[in-house]
This record gives sequence, structure tokens and C-alpha cells, in this order.
Amino acid sequence: MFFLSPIFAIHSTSDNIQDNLFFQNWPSTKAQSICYNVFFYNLPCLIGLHFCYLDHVPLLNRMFYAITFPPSLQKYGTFEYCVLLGISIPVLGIVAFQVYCLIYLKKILVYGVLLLSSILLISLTAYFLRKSYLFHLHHYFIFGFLLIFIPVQNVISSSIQAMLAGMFIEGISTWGMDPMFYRIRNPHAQNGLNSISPLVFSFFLSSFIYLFIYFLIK
Amino acid sequence: MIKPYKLLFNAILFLLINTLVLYGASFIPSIPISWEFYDNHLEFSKLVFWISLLFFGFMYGAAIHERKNLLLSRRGSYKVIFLLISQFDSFL
Repeated sequence: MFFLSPIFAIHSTSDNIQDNLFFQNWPSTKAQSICYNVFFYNLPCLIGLHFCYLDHVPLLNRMFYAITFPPSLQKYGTFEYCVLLGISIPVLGIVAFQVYCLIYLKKILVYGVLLLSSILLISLTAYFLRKSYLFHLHHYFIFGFLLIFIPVQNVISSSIQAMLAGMFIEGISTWGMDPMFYRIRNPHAQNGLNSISPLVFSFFLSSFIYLFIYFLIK
Repeated sequence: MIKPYKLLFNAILFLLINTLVLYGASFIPSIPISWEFYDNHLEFSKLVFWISLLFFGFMYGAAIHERKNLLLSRRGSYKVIFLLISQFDSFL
């Protein structure tokens, strides 16, 4: 899915132009296709690669590092709430537009089930292994995961997907692909479920979840 | 952090290389493919562009932080190669 999503979003002359919401007659030539990919994929990806520079904005640094650890939303003033609202509204708009695109392309069921089951899988693994493993969502994982759910070709979706790809690449190239579960020393959690590796646990759990979904659909 | 002129140089190089890759990859023929999920042509040009974007992106990311290139360290390269290979199941 990780490779399929960019293949849907990147343009080529033999694409099904009916899938494009905005430009159903454009681009059609090879040169136009290359221009589309440069301006709506390559350039946004380059912008996304500078994600770490947001750390240098003092307000954002204070707001989002404070949320991560320890949670301190209650320390926010009116200005911080306004900034949070100003960020949330465009993000919600993009999410709504993306859902509309998936409904338009009749892919909402597949991607909806994939998204919900993945969130369920990660949440349950983090919950059941909480005594022996510390769970941390790295930003490379968040953006790489979200990238899968934008398999749409139009100006907005391609650009957003490319920006997410840039942030994903930046996360890996800065800190590497660190694990999401860190082993913690807890003498009370050496037996039973907590002694299982997160990889093994999530593998079995995903088998149960996908078998359940399969029988539900059947 | 990297100096601004180096950043600009790297950014121009990144854009230029990927545009050249796009141009070169556009000559690769596509394979007609039809299955339930992807009813279209399997475009190798897109795949080449995407892998090039990942590859040069990792290099660019490492360069802007002035860190050792991820792809040149053995542990990092194993992880990136594993990531790339593990995702090919989407075509199977």
C-alpha cells in the first residue's frame, strides 16, 4: 500500500483522467505530465523535507513539545488556542476533502477498514503491553502511515501526499527508523502477556482482526 | 544546521535530479494491468520516480542536518532496504 499510494498520486500520460477531480482534460502530453509531477509532487516533497525547521518557531516549539511530554494543554492561553484552531481548521478541511475524494473514487470502504483496523491494532498492542513497553509514535511513522490514505490524483491530494512523504523521509534521515516500543524495566511485568514481543503480539492480533473483518464482510 | 547557501544548493540539486529522473523515466514503457484494486497501467516510471525521491530525500535530509548519510551506514541501509522490499507486497 505504501508504494501503491504514490503510484495513484503521481501523474503519467496513460492515467485514467476520469479519476482526476479538477483537470479531466489536463495534463495530456509528456511535458505537461512532468510539469505536474514537478510542481505538485517534487516541490511539495522538498517543502516537507524542511519539517524540522518548524522547531525554530518558538510558539510552535512551546506548544507541541509541551503537549508531547508531559501533556499540558491546560497551560495554554487564548493565543495558543487561537493558533491551535488556525492549524486544526485547514487540517480538518483537508481530511474532509480527502474523504470526499475516496467516496468519489469508491475506495472509501477499503481505506476506511484499513485505517480503523490499523489504529485498533496499534492501540490494543500499546494497551496490552503497557507494563513492559513504552509506546512512542515517531513522526516518520505518523506521516508514512497517513501517506497510504491519500491514493488520489489531483492538485491538492498529490501535494499533500508529497508533503507527507517529505516529512516521512526527513524523520528517517534525521533520527533513523527507531522502534515504536521501548522495553522498560518492570519487575512486575515479566510473566504472561507482557513478556511477548510487540512484533509477535501485533502479528497474532492483526491475524485475528483481519479474519474477523473477512468473515464480517463475507 | 546547514548554512543557507548550502541549503539552497542542495535544494536546487534535489529538484534538478528528480526532474531529470522524471524525464528519463517517462521513456520506460508501461505494462497494462487490470485487477480489482488498480485498473490501469502499471507505470514503472512512477515507481522509478518514487524510489528516486526516497533515495535522494534521505540524502538531502541527512545533508541538511549535517549528519552521516543514512544510506552509507550499514545499520541504516539495512533498515531502508528492508522498508523498500517489505512494501513490494502491494504489487503481489
